[in-house]
Amino acid sequence: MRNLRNVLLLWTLPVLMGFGVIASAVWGMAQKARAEEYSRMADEYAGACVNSCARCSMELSGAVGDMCRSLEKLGVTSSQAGRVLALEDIVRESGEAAALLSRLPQSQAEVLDTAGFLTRIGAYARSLSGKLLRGGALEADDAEQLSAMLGACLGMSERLERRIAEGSMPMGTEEFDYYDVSADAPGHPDYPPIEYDGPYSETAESFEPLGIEGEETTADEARAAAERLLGISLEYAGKTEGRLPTYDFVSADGGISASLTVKGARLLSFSGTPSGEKEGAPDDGEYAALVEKCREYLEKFGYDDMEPVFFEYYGGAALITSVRSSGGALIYNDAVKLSIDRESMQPIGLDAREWLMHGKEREIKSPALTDERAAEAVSKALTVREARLALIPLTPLTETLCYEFLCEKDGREYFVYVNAETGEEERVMIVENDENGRRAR
Amino acid sequence: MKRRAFTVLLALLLLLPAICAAAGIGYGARGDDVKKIQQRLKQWGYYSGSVDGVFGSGTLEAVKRFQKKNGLTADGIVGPKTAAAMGLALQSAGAASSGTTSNDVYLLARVIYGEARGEPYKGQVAIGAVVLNRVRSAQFPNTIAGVIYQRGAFDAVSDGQINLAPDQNALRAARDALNGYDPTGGCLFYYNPKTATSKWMLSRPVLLRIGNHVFC
Repeated sequence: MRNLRNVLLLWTLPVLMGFGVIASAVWGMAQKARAEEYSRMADEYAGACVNSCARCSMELSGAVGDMCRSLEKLGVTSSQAGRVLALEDIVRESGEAAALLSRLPQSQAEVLDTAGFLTRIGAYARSLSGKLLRGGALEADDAEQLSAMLGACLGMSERLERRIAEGSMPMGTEEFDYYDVSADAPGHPDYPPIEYDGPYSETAESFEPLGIEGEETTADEARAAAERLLGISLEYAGKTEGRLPTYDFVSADGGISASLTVKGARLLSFSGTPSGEKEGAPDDGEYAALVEKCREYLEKFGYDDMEPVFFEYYGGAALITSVRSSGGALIYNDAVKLSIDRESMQPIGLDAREWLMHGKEREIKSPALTDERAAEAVSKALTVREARLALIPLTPLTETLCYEFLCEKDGREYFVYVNAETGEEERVMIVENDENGRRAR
Repeated sequence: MKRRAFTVLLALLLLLPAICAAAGIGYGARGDDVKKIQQRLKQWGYYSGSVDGVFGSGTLEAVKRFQKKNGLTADGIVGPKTAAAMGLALQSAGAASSGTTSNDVYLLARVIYGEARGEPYKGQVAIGAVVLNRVRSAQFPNTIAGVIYQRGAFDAVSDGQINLAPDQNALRAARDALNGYDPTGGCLFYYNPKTATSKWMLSRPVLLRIGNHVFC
């Protein structure tokens, strides 16, 4: 018995150790295989990333090169159709170039100017194309701007080709300290300004608010106005600078915030929390009550003669977009968004930035055409249901008096805008009606 | 008596789809909505089964896990709240969609949650507004995904917090921002002054402060 115990003691330890060594070896081999697998995967991902960046660089260079050729052709094309086609090419190529530039792994701060320049070339080309299609002509100023744009694009194309040849384009594997891929050295290249009235125009982005009147107020005066309008106590929370300077306030529990303009103490915005969770479209009775309350609250907040036009229902609230009605026309630039709690029917949010930026007094002239005459421009595929006058922003700096025709085709609704002076169709929008609201796109 | 019982049973069977639709989508359901739910759950790692449009036990468990993690009642039924939290517009769940795609709403809510959870509600809407101001700017990509995934644009994308499931506040903030509420008045940048180190960013003129973020 004693001998058996000794034998067991003698052999147990070595056997256990043996198992341990074998288990460790198996575990180690598995870990090594896993590490090799991870390393292979990392190499594959890095390779895919570098290949993707290389493709992006080459395509960017190609798009900028194509844009140079289109700009050059435009400068020597005499026919209207040829110019429009060249401009449409420029629109497409600038869009491609801007998208490719944003996909390269480089600091967004470094490429802001280049991205802005590329996007504005396309937007300018689109506005020129529209001008030519309406019978306009390229002016001397346009030719001068196009020539400056071609010069800048040629420089960008040459620098991109050189950096690709040198192998110095960013490939996503370097430290995050790049400079603009279209530049030779750190720092922003100088791009010529592009002046036009269209999307992304710098002129349009810098205009001053038109809807603000009155003297500058103090924070205390603005707070008193906010408390009177909203019926709650508020604390001063700071001042916002910018094109529409405001005083900002917040309720003691932090649940409601409000901003009033420094000049005139107009209610620019406020936001609270809905008390219910109602979703989906309201029934006729609730809809009528929402429209009535919307008008009542907007008047109380200082926005008169507003017509509710679009609705969104979510998160227990109805967000209603209203536009000013004046001289028998809807003025779409003068828009205010009001949010109403569907449980309590109380206002819980407002944003009047559009109204305050654009809301000047306007003289709405009598239209040159009758609505019957203007309706002749509407597609024969559509059935016209309603017509009314509307002042719409066709460009950021201009408004055009149009007939707004609510039309229908196969159960879908459309807004068609026809110029009330010329009878030209200016814009078509799809009206989306569903359980979440009514909007035009 | 038997006839009356049969009539009641028949009525119940006829009304079943409507009852299910009102209550939400649950175990035993089939169809495109179930596929949408499975795809979304699989995308976020809650579900590992096949996307076959059949709401079986695997889908049920995945929905419960999702609900539990997002502070919802873990009943395994995809009603309006769960569908909204998933960013899905389901025909039978009555979930929200604001005209932009539900993917846009959800992506925006994810970046808001990743960047600004714990900030005041206004500050969360402001993050969404900055993203949308960039979409409208010539200097940035013209899509929400393009702006959010631009290299180095958002810390939440770099450190993976964008993959966290957003809460109801972030979803509402995304919807408010998409519907035009912009507390920043057009700002394109923001940063936390306590943690920001970029000289370029710190040199930009500050227009307002909301919570821990300044906007410029």
